[in-house]
Amino acid sequence: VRFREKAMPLLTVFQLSSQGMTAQRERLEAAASNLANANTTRATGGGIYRRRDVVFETVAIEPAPSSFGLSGSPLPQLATPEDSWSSTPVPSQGVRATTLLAEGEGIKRYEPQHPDADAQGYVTMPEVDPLEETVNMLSAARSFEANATAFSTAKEMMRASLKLGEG
Amino acid sequence: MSINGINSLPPLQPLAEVTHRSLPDQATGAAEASSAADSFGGLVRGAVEALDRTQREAEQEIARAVAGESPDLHRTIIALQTADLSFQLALQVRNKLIGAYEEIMRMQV
Repeated sequence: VRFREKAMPLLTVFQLSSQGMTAQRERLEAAASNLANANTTRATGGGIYRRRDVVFETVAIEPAPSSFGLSGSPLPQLATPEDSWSSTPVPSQGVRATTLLAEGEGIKRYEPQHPDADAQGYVTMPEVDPLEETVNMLSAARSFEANATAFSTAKEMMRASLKLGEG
Repeated sequence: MSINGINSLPPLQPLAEVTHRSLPDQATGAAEASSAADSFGGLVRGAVEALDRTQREAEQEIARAVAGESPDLHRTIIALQTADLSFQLALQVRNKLIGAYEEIMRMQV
């Protein structure tokens, strides 16, 4: 959803889950790209393929006034040790993934028969560890599932709320 | 013997005009004082506009997904679910309003 920057408070969970899933999709994309290029020796624009790394950062989600013309519902409040009922609203934090290019010279491997071997017979390979990428992939899939479950739960809760009005 | 034409009946007055005239001045003043957002009409309009917005967003997302522009399938589905839930909410509100209206209309005067 090209969610409006300010989401209806009702839909904050949807937005959070959506952002989480998008972030995990990007992570999987990076892992897939790294795995696909694990043996690449020629990169566009020269040099070697540089490993993709994904970092996550928080994004503020600002609750907008409710579109039903009423004042927005109060935000959930977190308890602090000093004041067990803190009155400061704690807004939810979304997530955003950024893909970074790893620095590095690559790994030199002795393969004199390789067409891209240098004068000494070494080939520069990207610094991609297939094992690590596989773990990243699994983790991304599981995290995606977790976000999807959070979304489904929120949806079920809303459906249950709507059922209250029946009959 | 002649029968009066139907046209001779007084024409129907617009409802708004009638209520306006029959209401005491104080009540109309109070009604005008309340802002559009607080009025019942404003509330309904806001709800319908919000519903319309979610439906249009879902439409846009589907168009993007079908055109292959959106890399995130889940966003399309979430837009659809959002539109559906908003519609269900609006439907519930509408059902309640109609129910209350019918209840009032059934009252013996």
